[in-house]
Amino acid sequence: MTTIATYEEATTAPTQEEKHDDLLADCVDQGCTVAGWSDSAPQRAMVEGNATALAFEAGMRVQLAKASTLRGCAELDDTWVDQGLTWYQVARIAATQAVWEVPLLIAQASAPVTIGPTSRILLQVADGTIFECSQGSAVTLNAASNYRGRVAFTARLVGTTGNQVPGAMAQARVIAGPAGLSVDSEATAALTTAARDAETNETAIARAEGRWGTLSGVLTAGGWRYVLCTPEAGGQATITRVFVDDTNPNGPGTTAIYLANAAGPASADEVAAAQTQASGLTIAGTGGTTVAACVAETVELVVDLLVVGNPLASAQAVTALVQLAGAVTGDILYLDAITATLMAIPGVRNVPTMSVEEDIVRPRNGVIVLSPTVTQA
Amino acid sequence: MTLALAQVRDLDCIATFSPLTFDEGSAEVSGAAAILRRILYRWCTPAGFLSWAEGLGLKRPILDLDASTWTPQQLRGYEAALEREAKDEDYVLTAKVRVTLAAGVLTIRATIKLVDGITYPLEVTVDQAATALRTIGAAA
Repeated sequence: MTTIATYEEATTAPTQEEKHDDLLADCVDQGCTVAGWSDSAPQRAMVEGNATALAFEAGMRVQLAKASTLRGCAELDDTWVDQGLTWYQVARIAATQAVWEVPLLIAQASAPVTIGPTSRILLQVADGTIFECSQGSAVTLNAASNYRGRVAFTARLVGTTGNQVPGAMAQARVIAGPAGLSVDSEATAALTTAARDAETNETAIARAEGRWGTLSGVLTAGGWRYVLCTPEAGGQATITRVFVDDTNPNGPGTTAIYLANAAGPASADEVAAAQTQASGLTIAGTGGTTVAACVAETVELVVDLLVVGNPLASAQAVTALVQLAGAVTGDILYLDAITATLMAIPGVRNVPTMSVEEDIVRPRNGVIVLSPTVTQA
Repeated sequence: MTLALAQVRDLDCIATFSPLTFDEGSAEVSGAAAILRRILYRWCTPAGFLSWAEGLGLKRPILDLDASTWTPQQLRGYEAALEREAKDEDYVLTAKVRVTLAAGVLTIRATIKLVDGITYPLEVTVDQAATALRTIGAAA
């Protein structure tokens, strides 16, 4: 019996073929003639069956060994990570829906129209994403309102596909609702609640490990990320990125914390809530901690695509690029990632031209926001 | 290394002939008797059952034929499938199978010619009561 001494050995499984060869070698050592065993020879079934079973057991041992650490769980699958997170009493944050305030316009001949909780209105943007009316209080579009009004719409599906660029919302079409109703393209739609995707293994693990930072006398950078993003700790699930500048940015002993959601800089409401939360926490340093929204580092990105058979590719590319930028938790948005995102859109065969030629670096107090203009041929 | 027919030696997994049952035994069988048993094992193995030989076996293995219904065309097709399995076995030169259904009894009669030039019989019957091995490797 060999022993497994190291983690590396414990997480390396012999293959079924290797086990098979080992068993045949054992048979030879016992004096058996192992030649001439056709597929239907009974003794072959014993070797094959045992090799399969032993390889399965070894594979299970590898899984269990990897599951002894949270980062090892990530090499298995999401369900193992979910179990591993329970060691930290942390649960993966689920995806949420985007909520927009959309300016609407009613044709004079169709006025007045009152929109409220029971109204059934659907908007669809160019990439196919659908939004449903979720207006709580009644809004009347009539002569007194100049036939205009701002109405809440919630993305039908969870996830960051709801975090459209305002320009896309301005061109949304009313696909169900009162006759004569349209989106007022002269006004600007506002994203009131940014959607988020379900937490990835990487971000969930980093947040869980950040909980260690809450056990010290004062919060560490990881601790800040944990408390501000974790609902169970009083944080907000919509805040997906917390950048901690602990290099004395505002003088000796100061720390600055910059917040962003999956669409860009954190909203005023998100910042206010985070500031209230932070005021009740013991902070590091003697110079005080400031909590603010990230500054948007807006990058104009002009892209031409070569597309076969997907008329929605350019609209889908805009959404994908916005999602990509919204998922950057580090300091760099790599050019390769932009190209890979575009090439992953159905029908895209090439990216002949792109206005950005270098990796995009996040400023210390900022967050990268892409403003894409995409054409397709 | 290729063994001569007489050198082939297998475990004998036939526990009883009537009804036909299998088990892991310690007895051994060699030569033509081993090859005929391998053919019988193939006929009793569901296709896809063996992970190392997923093409081996039958969609309707003979142990699962109780209470089955057959058209004449299906009987001919089943004969072809049985012959194909037999011929796929090493040391088999030719195989001829005849399947008949009479009075609720399905009878499978095979004649197997091995590389030693001898033709061996292999006969199995299936009825409502049981599957039985009637003849295997008796002198032709």
